[in-house]
Amino acid sequence: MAEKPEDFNMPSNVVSKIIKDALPHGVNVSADVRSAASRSASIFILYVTTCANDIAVANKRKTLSAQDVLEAITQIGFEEFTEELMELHKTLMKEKTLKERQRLKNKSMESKSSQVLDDKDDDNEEEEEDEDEEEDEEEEEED
Amino acid sequence: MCMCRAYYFSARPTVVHYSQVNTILLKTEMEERSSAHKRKACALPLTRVKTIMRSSPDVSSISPEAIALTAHSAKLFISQLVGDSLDESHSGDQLEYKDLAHVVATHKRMAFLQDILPQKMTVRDFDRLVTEYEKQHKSVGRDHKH
Repeated sequence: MAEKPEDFNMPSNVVSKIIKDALPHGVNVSADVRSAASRSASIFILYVTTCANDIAVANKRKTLSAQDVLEAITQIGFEEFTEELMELHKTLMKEKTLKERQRLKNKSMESKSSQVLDDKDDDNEEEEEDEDEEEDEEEEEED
Repeated sequence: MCMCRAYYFSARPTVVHYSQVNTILLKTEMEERSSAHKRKACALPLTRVKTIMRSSPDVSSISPEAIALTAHSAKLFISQLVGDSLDESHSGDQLEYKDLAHVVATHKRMAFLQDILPQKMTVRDFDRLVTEYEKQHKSVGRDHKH
């Protein structure tokens, strides 16, 4: 939950960079445009989230999925964003599977090496196992 | 020897020396990395986006992909809003608050921002509006009396 009003503000350097990239070179942007854009981005996020949540609830799901967000964005009239977002979604999924593979690889390597390791390293290993468990819990949440 | 083989099997007319292959591979890898880096550098912070999403009522849990997509869509939204505002502003090289407020007031899909980006008004205009409203109100009151 957001506790301070500052939690709703987007970092100004990122926002001004986005504005700069969106406009042709040499356009003067006044300071209140930057603050207005950052405020409206926050409100846009809230708006999309609320719509996506409505969709998720209507489909009897508790977790907001990427699909819900895409549908919400189409619903509120920004369907031209969906194409680019779908591509981003694809690359994200690819990265995720790659990471997952890497993690499994590391795990198998660890289990192999742990057989050879001395008793001294057991403490470290236990910690790593804890981390893995935490990650698993997170994944359950996602589902 | 290697060079000859590369030339023999490559469909492209350009000849790539064996020693260059490594550097080319390295370059593409670097480019891929820098593009990912660029994407991250110009993106809104995911933790902040998550905080805002969590503050929406009735939201229980959010998948990480949903957060990433929302953050990117917010970025696209800023670009869209600013681009539309510049297109509809009268000066081509100056973007002011009133241009944004005008777009918000005229576009239907931006209507959710009307309370956040209201159109600014001078005190003189406001006074005039108030007096007009009062006049109308009085006349309506009189109509009721009659």
